Amino acid sequence: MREHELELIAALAEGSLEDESQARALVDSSTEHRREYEAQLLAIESLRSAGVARMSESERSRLRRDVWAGLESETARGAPGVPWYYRWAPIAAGLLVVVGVVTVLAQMGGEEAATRDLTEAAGAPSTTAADTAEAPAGGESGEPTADDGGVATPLDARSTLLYAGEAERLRESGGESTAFAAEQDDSVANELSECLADAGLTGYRAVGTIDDPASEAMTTTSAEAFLPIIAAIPEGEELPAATIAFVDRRTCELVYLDG
Amino acid sequence: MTTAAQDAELLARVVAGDHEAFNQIMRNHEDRVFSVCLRIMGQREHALDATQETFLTAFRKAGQFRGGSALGTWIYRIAVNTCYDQLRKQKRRRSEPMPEHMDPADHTAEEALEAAAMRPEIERALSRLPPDFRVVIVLSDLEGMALPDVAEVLSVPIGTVKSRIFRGRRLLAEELRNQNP
Repeated sequence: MREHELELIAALAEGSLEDESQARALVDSSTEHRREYEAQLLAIESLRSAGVARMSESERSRLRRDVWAGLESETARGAPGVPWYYRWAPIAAGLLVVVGVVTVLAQMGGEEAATRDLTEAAGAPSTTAADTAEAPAGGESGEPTADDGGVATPLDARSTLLYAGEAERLRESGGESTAFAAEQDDSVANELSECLADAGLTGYRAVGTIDDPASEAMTTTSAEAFLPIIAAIPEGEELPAATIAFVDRRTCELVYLDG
Repeated sequence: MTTAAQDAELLARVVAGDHEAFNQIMRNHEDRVFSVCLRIMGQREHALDATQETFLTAFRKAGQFRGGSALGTWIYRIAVNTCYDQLRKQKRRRSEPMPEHMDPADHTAEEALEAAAMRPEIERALSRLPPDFRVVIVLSDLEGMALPDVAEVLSVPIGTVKSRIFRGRRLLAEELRNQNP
């Protein structure tokens, strides 16, 4: 059946024709045309009587509450439409100051003093990355958690920017932009799961690996030191709201926790 | 119904941090967004999740709206893409089959009356359509959107929209006939 014939038959079924004679003649011209008209008519009439899809008041209240809960965390991360590097610039500047202070202290007083000052400045002196990852949702103990967005192992400012940028990209793309979707290949998914377990990330699942940086902040040199990494989120959670953990795929060590 | 200028002003206020402006946008569009999501997703819980995610995404991307389309069209595009993403994730997780009828599990008898629903047999038939056909049927035949608007939401040519509507209706008719032999 030609496209224009189908259009004419559909318009007849919709009741949108001023002059139906040509369309009716077409429908009567063959069994195929008549069957097409009856199918179009059945679908249209059924859909017209389908009923309304409407929220209950409790659903509406819940929707607004959940949206506002999500917006509060969005607002905490930065105003809408602001590029990610605007939000991270003050933090990066602060970290650069810390690194600078450490460098000066190291030159003045020795390695031990520098290490103490750096860990004090980072505010996460004694926990390991594994300890942080195993308590992604808690915060009452006062130790660094996923909610703090912190990793115990001190990072230089550039690494922080790189990982933060990749986390932002993952949130915006819903995880679809990673080089590989873990769920599609069981053997690779198993390998990634083992690596996450080695990193102490029990209760996390891999959403993919990142091998190709999209962040403008990354140079080739820094990308080689930075990648490849596994991106993982807690089971039962979904992007973009979930905590994102980055694990070095070569060493199976947690390198960054975002959210 | 808001004008394009009013929509643009509301979004500008959202970008500036005006939460009441975002409240207004939600009030203007939440019913239609939920309707679209429910008819695409088929289950109320999934539809509510998709609706929530739609508005969060709209907030996140408010600064990127350039006014090339109506605000409603822009939001519905986000809603459709959100539903597509969630359908893909459901497929990857090999989720439980669609229930025979929509799930009223959270409703008291009173709320069940408020929460209007589609006729179950139509909901069933619609849920069995491939997503591309289901979406155009929902936007055009159920939501009453004009074909150029549907084409804009889906970023496809009008000819493609028409083709999907005609084939989608044909498939829907087959599903309905199979339910009532």
